[in-house]
Amino acid sequence: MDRRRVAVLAAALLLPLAGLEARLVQLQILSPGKYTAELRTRRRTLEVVIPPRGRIVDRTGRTIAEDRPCFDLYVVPEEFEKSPAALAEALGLPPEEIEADVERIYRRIEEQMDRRPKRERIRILERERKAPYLLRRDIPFETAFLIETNAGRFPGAVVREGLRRRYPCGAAGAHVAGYVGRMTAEEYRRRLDEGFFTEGFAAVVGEDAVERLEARGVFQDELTCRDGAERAFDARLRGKCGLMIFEREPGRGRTMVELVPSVPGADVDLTIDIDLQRFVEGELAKTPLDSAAVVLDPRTGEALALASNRVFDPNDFVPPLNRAKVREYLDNQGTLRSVAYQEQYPLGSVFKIVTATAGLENRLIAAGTTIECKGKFRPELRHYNCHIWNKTPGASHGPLDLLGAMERSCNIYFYTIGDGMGAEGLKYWALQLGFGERTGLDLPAEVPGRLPARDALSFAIGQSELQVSPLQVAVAMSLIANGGNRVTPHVRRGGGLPPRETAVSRETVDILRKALQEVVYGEHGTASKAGLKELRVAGKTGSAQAGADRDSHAWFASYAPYDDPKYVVVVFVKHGGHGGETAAPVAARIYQRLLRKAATPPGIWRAVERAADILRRVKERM
Amino acid sequence: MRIARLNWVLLACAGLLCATGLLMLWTFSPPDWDDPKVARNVFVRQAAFLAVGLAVLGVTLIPNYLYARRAAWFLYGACAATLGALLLLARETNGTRGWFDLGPLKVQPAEFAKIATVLALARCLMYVKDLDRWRGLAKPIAVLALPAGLILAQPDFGTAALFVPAFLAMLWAAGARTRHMIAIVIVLAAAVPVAFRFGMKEYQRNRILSFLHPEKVPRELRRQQEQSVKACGAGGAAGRGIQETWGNTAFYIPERHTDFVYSLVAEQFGFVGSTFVLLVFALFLAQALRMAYFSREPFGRLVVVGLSTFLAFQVYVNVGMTLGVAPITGLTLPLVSYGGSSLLTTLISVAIILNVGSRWTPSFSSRDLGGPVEMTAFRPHEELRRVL
Repeated sequence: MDRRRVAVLAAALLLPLAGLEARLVQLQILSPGKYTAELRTRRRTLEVVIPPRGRIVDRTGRTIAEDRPCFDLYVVPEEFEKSPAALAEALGLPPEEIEADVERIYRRIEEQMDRRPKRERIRILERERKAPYLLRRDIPFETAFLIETNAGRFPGAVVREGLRRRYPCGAAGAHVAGYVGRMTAEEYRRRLDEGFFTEGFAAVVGEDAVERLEARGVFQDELTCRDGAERAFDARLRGKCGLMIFEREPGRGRTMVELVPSVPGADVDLTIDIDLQRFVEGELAKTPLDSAAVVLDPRTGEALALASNRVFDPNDFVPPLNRAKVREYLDNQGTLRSVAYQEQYPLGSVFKIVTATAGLENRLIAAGTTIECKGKFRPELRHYNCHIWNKTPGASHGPLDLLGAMERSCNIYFYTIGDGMGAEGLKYWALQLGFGERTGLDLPAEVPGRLPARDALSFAIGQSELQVSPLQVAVAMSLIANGGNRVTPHVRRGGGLPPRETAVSRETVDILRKALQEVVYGEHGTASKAGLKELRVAGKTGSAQAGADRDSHAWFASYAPYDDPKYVVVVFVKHGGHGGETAAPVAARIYQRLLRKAATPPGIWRAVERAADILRRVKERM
Repeated sequence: MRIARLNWVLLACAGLLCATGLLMLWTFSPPDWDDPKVARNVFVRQAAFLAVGLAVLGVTLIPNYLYARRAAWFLYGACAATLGALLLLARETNGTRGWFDLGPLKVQPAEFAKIATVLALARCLMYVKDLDRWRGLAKPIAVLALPAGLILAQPDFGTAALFVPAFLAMLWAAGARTRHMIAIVIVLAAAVPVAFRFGMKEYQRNRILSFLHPEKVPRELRRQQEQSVKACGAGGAAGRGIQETWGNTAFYIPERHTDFVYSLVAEQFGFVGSTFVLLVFALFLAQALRMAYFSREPFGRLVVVGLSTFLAFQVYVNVGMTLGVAPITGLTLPLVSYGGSSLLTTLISVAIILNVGSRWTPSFSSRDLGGPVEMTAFRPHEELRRVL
């Protein structure tokens, strides 16, 4: 060991510090003006880049929801104070409304000030009064042009390009598409805590910077998904926010640097055929009654149409709100609920399919078993009668086998099965066919329905406390149509579970299918109005009692073509009377439409649709 | 240990640097004491780290550093095992596996590995006879290669590279031949282009390219350093004065409170302040090496040399990066930058250096005393008796 070596080392280690010192001299002493000049002129802002939301597309590739470019109006509070009147006139709004909006902006600035220590507040106010704040989204092109070209008349008003969620199909499929709207305060807090907007920012700019961004309120104008596909597939549709630095230097314009790239949202393909959906909604709208129709593909569970007579236009919800319309929707409690899967009703005779399944599977009956209908189930029971007796007391169907009983919808036949099965037995088979639990549809807020626990006789003909949604009926009908497999209905292409086998055997299904065809084409069939020549339809009607003095609920559940089922159509009309009279004709028209669609070459169909679309847009503009 | 023997100058330098760091963090993000989340403020956190670090420093001063000589291999083994576990267990953040995430704390084992490796190297370099032959160099090289390799695999190129000068300095002080050392340097220099081509990730290559050939790298990658240079330049001779740096400065620098903390000093206190900080570092290093010079015990001397070299190079690289004369590496400025692991281990290093300087150890080597020793004149120190 050598002490001299340590001394040499000490000199060697101290020498580079002298080099660094030289660099300091060069930077800070020899070029003093070079950097400080830039310092005075440069303005830097950290800005968040909001990505476009993904599109929602129907099965033919038509857009149901998309982000369209629009002009947003921002104001710089400091300069704006003087001229609300001119701007209100240009926008065609009462000045009070603009003033209320400006008030809101000031409240937001105050919120920011409250969150910082007192000594900083004045400075924050000074700074924020110079920053642009969003006043209104999507102002008309003419107004934007006017403001941009007459900067002197509208001091403090800034027009920027933005994106606005639009639903080109309007009210068609509104429940399925859902809509986006402004966040409530709690929603905003929750999303912020989840790091919804600021994912990945802290690693780049630090937590403090993220908090300051948030304090500026840059995320408060963001929209949230509210319902339907927008809500269900939000994780896919929304992208990820990006972060950018904008620098303004006099004479050199704006430069920007991307710190965190924004990721645009992905598209979602639906199985819905928006044209069919619109047609079905039109059919339902022909009566003023509440009604619903479901069109499923029984092989996969893909939903082609989930229609309800209630309609609303999702465009009304996207800010700036159409206040009058939104208030109207909210006042009419049910408007935002789809009858097709968000409400439940008694099912009536359609449930006889379940009762027959239970009877066949338990060998209580076979296809050829005859039971005699005497009009009354038992003489001593007052209320358990066949409908034919209720119409003309004393009448009866006489001896019937299963096919005959189904064709005429004889109550006595099914009371007998129900009596043998008991409520628990019927419940088991109802669950097998998909009643009494959620079907697993990939849209929010589906109802589960309800199965009664007692009164097996009423249960057997679909009365008592039985409650089902039209979608559940469609799932049950799919099971018959596809030979005993339970499908999971879904609206996202490629979504849903694969069909799974149930306890219902192939033989039972075959017998039921024959019976269901008799209902439509038999001599005494209750659904003769649904019978088409060009397409063999099989189905079952239902007329569920809906209280003492009101018309019963009309149901018709069906599938077609008989030998190779491709469609299941379920129609429900609340208080519509007899299923065969009210619901079956609607189903027939839906089948006709499906046939016509299948027969037309897709190219022609698309051209027709495009023309209709253009017409509609032109109308919108007018 | 006697208080009087403590090197108060060195301790004062360390204290000044820590205080500068806290002041910079205060300006970077002043704590708002009414805010319930004040515990997340960087200033508050760093102050807490400093309190813990000073306590650890005090504790580390008490036992004689020669205990560390006994424990050297154990500590080295533990650190190597931790580094290995880190590669297997830790979650990847920003493409590297450098931290154990223990809830509120992030522990960076590489920082501790520096100290343990210095101790182990000092242990195997003291009293070796065959250091002047290649065979004798094999063992120290192996001791160095294990932790350095594990850190390189994280990958943390900057920290791993720091091991090389520290190792060379220790070899030199231990008496290795100059031509052997030149050979090692040449081999390492030859390995750099190979590592650049095959061993580095895209971002690491860009960092070096942006330093050597700025025009070959997209502007946003050069930006952090460019901004830092501008901020330092804008400080001028006297600085712009203390101010809230995030909201007001025109130069936005990511990671300003950690890796680029020196730019805060340079911008706010100008040439005067930044020179002062460099001078404090110089005084610190001079004092440390003075202790090594006067120490008669080879283990302590080597430890001080190794730790000082680590700190010195970290200062060069960090300040050089901030001033735009070295590539970006992600090394912190010792004692000044924000960061618990870094602060704690640097304070431990300071404690070890102080510990070595404050002990009196007789030497048994006649060479160190400049002639034969009369054994009768030898009166063992009472402290030495306790240790041996």
